[in-house]
Amino acid sequence: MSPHSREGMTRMNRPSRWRVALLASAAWLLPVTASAAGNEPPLRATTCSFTGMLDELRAALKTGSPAYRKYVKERLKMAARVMPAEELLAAVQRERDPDVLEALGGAVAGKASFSEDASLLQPLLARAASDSDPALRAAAVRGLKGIGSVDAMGKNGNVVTYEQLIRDSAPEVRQAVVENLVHENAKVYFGHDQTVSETAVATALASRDPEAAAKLLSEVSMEQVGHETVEKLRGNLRTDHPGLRAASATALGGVPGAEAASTRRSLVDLYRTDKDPAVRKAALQGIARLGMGGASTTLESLRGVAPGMDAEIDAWQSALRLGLQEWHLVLREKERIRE
Amino acid sequence: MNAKKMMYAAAALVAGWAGVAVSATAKGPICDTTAYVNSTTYYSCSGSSHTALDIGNGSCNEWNHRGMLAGSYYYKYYGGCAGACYGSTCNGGAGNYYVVTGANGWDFRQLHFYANVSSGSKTCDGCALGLVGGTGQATGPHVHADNRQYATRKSAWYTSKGTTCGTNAYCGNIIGAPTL
Amino acid sequence: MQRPSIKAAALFGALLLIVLGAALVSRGSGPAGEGASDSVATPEASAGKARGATGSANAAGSGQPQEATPKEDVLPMPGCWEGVGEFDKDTSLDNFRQALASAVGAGDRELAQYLQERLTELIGGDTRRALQVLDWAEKSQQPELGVFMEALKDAAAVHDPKVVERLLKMGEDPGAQLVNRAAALDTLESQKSLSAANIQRLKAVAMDVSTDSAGWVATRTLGRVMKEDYERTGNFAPYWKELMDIGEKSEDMAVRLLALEMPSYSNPIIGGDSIERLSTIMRKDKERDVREMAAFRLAVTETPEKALEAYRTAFPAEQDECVRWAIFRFAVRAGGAQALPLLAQMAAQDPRFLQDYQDFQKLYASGAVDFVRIWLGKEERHQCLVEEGAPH
Repeated sequence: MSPHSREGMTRMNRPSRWRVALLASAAWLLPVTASAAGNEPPLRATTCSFTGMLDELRAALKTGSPAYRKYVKERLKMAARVMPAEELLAAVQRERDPDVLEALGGAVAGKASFSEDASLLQPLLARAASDSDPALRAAAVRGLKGIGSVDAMGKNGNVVTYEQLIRDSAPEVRQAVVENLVHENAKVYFGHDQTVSETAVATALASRDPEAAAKLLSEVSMEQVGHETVEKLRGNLRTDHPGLRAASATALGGVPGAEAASTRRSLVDLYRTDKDPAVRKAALQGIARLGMGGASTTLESLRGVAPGMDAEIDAWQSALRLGLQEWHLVLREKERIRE
Repeated sequence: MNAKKMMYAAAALVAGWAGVAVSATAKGPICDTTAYVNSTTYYSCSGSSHTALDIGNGSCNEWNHRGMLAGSYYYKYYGGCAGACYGSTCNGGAGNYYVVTGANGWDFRQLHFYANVSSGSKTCDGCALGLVGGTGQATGPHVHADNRQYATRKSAWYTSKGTTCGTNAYCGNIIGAPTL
Repeated sequence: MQRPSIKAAALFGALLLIVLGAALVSRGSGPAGEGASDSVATPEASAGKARGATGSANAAGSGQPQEATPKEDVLPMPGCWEGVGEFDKDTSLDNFRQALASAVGAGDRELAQYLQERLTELIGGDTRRALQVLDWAEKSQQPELGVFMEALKDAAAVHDPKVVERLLKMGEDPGAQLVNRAAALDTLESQKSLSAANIQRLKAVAMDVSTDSAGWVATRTLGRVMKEDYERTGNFAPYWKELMDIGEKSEDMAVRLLALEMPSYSNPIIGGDSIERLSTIMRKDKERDVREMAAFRLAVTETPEKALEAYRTAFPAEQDECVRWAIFRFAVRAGGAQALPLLAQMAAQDPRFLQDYQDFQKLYASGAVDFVRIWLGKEERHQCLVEEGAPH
């Protein structure tokens, strides 16, 4: 069936603002269809309907080119801003295909962010938390990616939270949670939001999946976290999982300046006592980050503690001697030297 | 330094949070098809140095001034300026304005708006921030948009093929790719 | 301004039609305007109504009794099309332009974007197809020109030497429209590297005053390929050498400014040999924005102590408060807490910077060391939010 069949068009029969917008859109197309009518154009303008767009989305996601898949998702997002919410939310509630649900979720999330109405997310949150199919739960979580989802969950009364979702039995759901939080921290807030950072730490600590927790702790910015969160991270340096200890050390390297002195002492202790090379490497990085040019003496004092790590200390010392004042540049130069 | 080593360095930065600046997409701030760019690197297109985009549709206190960045971002609000269409002394000349603070000293700002019920710090995508106005140093209502690093305005963010005087700045059109 | 005013007019006038969206809207605006006429106000009508409109002085929470309802936005609404699925399966160069004509005629930006990305997929690594698209582009205007060139920019075939040569020739062609020349040079920005000879060819366009917008784009392309090359291989010096030359010698302020700006996107650590030249630009360029950009550039070098000396010399000689503010803050970016004695000296020379000195002193005393975070805590105290020439 054509994605924009007559059946689809007849379903759009409400005199709403949404319909007016569609008619306006269709009106743009009239001169083109008229002028190109004799040449059998490959594309023919038609009236938009939600059903038609959804049918086309479903087909394109199955067999379309990457460009086509992106197009149908983007068009749905744009249309979702204009159309009434009911039809869209009903589709979110009943959809059984994970790829389509993710696209519908993205459209709903985009509409919620555009209209500043977090309540629109409730059906999506419900599916993320409660659907019996883990692939659909994961798709619903992925639908939230790219918006201020932590803030939106709060506005929905924290009925569904990432701390809850990270305990899902399905790894794909946990992975989606981690990706949302890492993305939101880096691309929506650029690491500057205290609530997102602290939510990421709380989610990591709530997780029974050490890999997921480690990814959260090592990749989310700690720039704005409060003292209580720093203490939680410090406590995590004693967990059994070495990857988690290393991630906690990495996270502690990024805490606010007011926490630097005591954190540095914790990381020095960690370096001296932990036998795991990855943990020691993360401790050195944390020490370098907290002190930058001022960390040289501390780093030098650790030479010989673990002879296998002395080359790492050398690399940090060389990078710090460049006198760069921005951590991202120091880290970049250190990686160049070390590898 | 060979290529393999450098690529490793780049991968390390991507894998761990290191505040890597990224390119965003900026659309026009007014959902009126008559909105256009009237200043770019040069003020009024042929005047003194400007290094920002001025966008207007000849209206004041009537049309929504919307977030220009495509996607959800945190718009921090700096208000406190009395409503004005033709300039006022407020907030160092910026008038009522918003800042999206990116990584490594980068930011994207939208200035001079007329505050209304929509105004306030928020995370949103293309949402209403206030009304197009002329608060701060402005001889008429418009939106001033700039992309800075450590408070120095940059020009390379104009669209890949160049945003220019007369460019249509309707909210459906991409007019820049700021770094954040 | 020392620059002839005709220069600026030409520079941006030449770029006037470059933006795809603008052209799309212009072609679609007739019927769109008709379709949406209920919600579109003319500027005159809007301005007239604005005078004396309620609106609040400090509306958010100010308790103003009435607030004007905003005009109803004309929100972007993409069109719908029959046949896209079939077209997607059978895309060819033969039917592509007809599909694009439909998108352009309808002002459907989303469809045009899809077609651009589908064309990238279609070109792939096929040099013959890439050259065919360039044949079209040569004879095109916006917005089709933008779709063709942006599609090619992202296709693997853009790296083929024959395609690179063709793009360079289009960019250099004095007989071509500036918009086509600029688009060709812009398409080269996805190159992984540029040969020494091709760097010189781009530089020649950048330095040629008659190239206007194409020269500006050539400068940006040099900087963008520098970023790509530097991030992949660590190589930036051949590009930076020429960008600095352009930053020193171009007669166009916008081009000088851009040349010095471009390293901002990859942050190469500038060698000590550049410091003297940058210092001279910082002290002597006639445009304050260029002097500020030179100060900016000096902050990431192999020899920060030399940069601090350059700032020390330039600060008292500089007359513009905003350039002084740039010198002041970039001294901190170059030297961190070790720049504080220099800041104290500057604050003694110009008391308008005393509070800035105290701000930075407190921020470093708080335990922060990364300039990125120091800057987040720094209040901007100078009236440099709007440029020289304001109010406007």
